[in-house]
Amino acid sequence: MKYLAKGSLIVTTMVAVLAFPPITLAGNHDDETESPKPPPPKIQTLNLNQDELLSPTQPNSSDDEYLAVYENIRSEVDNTVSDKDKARKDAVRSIIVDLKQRAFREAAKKVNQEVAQPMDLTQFNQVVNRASNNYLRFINEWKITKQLVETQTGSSSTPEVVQVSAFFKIDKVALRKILISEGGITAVAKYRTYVELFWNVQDKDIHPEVIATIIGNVEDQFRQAGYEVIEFEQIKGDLVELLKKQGKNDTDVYAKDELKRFKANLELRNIDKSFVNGKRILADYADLLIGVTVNIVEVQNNELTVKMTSNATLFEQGQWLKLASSDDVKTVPHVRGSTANLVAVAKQVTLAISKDLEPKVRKQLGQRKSVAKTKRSQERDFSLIFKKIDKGTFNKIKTRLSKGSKWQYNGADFKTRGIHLAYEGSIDALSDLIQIYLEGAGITPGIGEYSGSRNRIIFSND
Amino acid sequence: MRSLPSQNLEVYVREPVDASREGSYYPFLRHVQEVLIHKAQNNGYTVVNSPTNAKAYLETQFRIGKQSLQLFLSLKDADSRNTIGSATVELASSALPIDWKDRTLKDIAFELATKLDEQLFGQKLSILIDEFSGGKAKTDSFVSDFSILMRGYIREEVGSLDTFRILIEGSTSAQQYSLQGHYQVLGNEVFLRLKVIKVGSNHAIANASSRFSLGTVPSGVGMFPPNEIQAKESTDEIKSDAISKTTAQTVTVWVNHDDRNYRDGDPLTVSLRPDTDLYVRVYYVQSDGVICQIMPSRSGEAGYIRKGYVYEIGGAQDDVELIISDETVGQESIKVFASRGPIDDNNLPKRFISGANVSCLEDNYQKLVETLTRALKMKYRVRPASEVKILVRR
Repeated sequence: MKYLAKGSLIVTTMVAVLAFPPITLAGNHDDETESPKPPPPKIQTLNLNQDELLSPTQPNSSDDEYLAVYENIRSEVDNTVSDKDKARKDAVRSIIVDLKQRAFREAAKKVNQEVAQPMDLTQFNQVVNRASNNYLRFINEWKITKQLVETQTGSSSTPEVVQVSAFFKIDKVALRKILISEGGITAVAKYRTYVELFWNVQDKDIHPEVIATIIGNVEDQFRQAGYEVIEFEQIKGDLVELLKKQGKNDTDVYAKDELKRFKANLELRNIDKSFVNGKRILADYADLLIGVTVNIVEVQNNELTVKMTSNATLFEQGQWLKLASSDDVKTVPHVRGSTANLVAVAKQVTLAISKDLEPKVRKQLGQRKSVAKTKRSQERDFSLIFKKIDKGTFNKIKTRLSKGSKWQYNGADFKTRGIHLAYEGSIDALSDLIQIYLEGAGITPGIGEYSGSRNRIIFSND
Repeated sequence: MRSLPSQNLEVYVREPVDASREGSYYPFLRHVQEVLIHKAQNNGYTVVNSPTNAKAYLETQFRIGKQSLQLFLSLKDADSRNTIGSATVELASSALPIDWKDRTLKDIAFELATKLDEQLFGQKLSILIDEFSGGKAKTDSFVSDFSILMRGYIREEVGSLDTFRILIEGSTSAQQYSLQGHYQVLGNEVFLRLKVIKVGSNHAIANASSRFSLGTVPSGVGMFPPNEIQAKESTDEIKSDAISKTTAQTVTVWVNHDDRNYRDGDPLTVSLRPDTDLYVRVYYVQSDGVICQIMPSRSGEAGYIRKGYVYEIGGAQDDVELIISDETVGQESIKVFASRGPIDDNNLPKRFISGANVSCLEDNYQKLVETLTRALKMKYRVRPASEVKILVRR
């Protein structure tokens, strides 16, 4: 070595069904010699009433009503009955009873589709059967629009046939209520669902692609089943703020190093672990927590094994309650260096546990009567906090809000100056509504502060 | 294959694996797999690319005999793993290509990387390829042509796997793991072992080994440095890696050539990054045993380095330049001694070498260690803290 001195250098898919009337195109009959000439068409000018043409033959459906229209439904008339009129009436009555039931079932299915809920078919059918006994309660209007009888000429033994067209209007609101209250539909969409992932593989570090696959697939499965999935990115900003408030460093969450950043974000998304009072914080964002744990990712004897467990917990009445769990394991041949193979297996296991867990969760949710009783179909619970307001003013607010008709008042907490209520609509609409409502009573609550993914509005005059 | 059931089945044909405990890799078995794929297709199977799409797996184990290659085939149901059919094939060497048993050092590297990957699969590890050294004895830690070459091959193979993210030496990113290699020459065989160590805990999370014939090493690739005796004299207890650090005196040291291979005229930059505030002495130990102090570069300087900074000796910002010369060749090393308190090295006999423009010691390495570490009067002990070995060639 030489040592030299240098100078210092310093989907949603919308399907539109377009019904076209049958169109007959008249062909050009060039060969006029072979076919007889049709008689020349008789052309006459029509002069029909325009209003009559435009007016519908049956009423329209609406958000609150389901319209079932049936055309030309046929039924044989009992030819053993001597009283023909009675036999015909019976045949028509039989059609109408069937159609009412049919309309009711179609409406129930429609309601289910509209609330985007999966249904436990057995339970759903049981509730529909029970409800259909009182179907008249749900039929707002119905009408027979056509009734014909086809009689046979001569001494034919072929029975007569009655032909009926009718429509029924079903009250969807009433139907939805009974379906939900009796557990035919589990209203899971109102459960804000959050997925946490834990890597519980001893002495092994995480693989970002596998983690992303697992989380993505669990979220997709629950989203497709109708749950309102809260994505981490939606609440990340809030969580970072909370992290800072708790005196923790957020540098790694935005680190340049991809792996470091990924790990920090994964840690942050596990709210319960990352924060003091994590369970309480989590409850601000979600009602339903799906915790997925990767227990085994290993290659032994050239075989790749992935094992995962998942747990669903529900936040109810101030605490997290375990609802259901599921686990699955899969072993396939290991392919040297193939992350694709690992991801494929992880995906299969994820789908298996999600498909097993989701119906269990739904069943458990359906059985939680307290939930069904206290919550209306699309309502969400909100907490309103009135900061720096004296006891007297808070009492006025409480009294005023307890009389509001736009929400369901659920109670107040003087200590925290909090009001609890259920409201069907967005948090920003509620915030504005409360402010206007109180100001109308001469109370100035201040401007409400909230974030879209939380269920708490803080009113303050600061 | 005749005894295997012939039916329209989606089959995944697995890579043949060594039936022995060694788990050796022979590139010829790749051709065997290709042949098996063709055979499976001819047998009416649909060969799929992913095991997750298969209804059955065609598994092959091989055994290398002196004069033959044995293949044990079995077709297994993907779900139950029950054997649907099996067959044994023995191929005489005479029926195989002449080089069917050949393996290169690259193949050994492939095998070792595969073994490590199997143990660590499913993770993403930021890893530093650390020192590869060895010799005849278990305790030898020579850097040689072989160790440098093998380190390069391993780096290449490990780097091609998704499990690993290779870090550049001195990288400040989340380095958590270190890969070290040690070889031992045992008669006509070489035993090479790799370890992946978790930084901080010094706990090995994976290790893999391979035993292969010395004949696999190309001629001209030395298994030992030419200055074997001198190099042995400068060996001490310190781990020569950037991650095995002694007590609280921790300093990471690296050089500007990732492969640690230098030739005449190559500039040398030594970088230091302490984990705590320290006083240091950095020595360059030449292959002939001469030891020269390269930090502090001026007499009277304390050699104080602070946590959070990287100090470069011979770097663009330094006031000295280090150039490798081939006057001495073989294993040379950079040794760092560190202490929490000022280091008193007044007792070290030094002489200034004007041609090299550097102060060198008059004693050998063992004397240096004795003198520096014996200082009982000092409040803080001086310890060998870190080391990088390089190979200087003509």
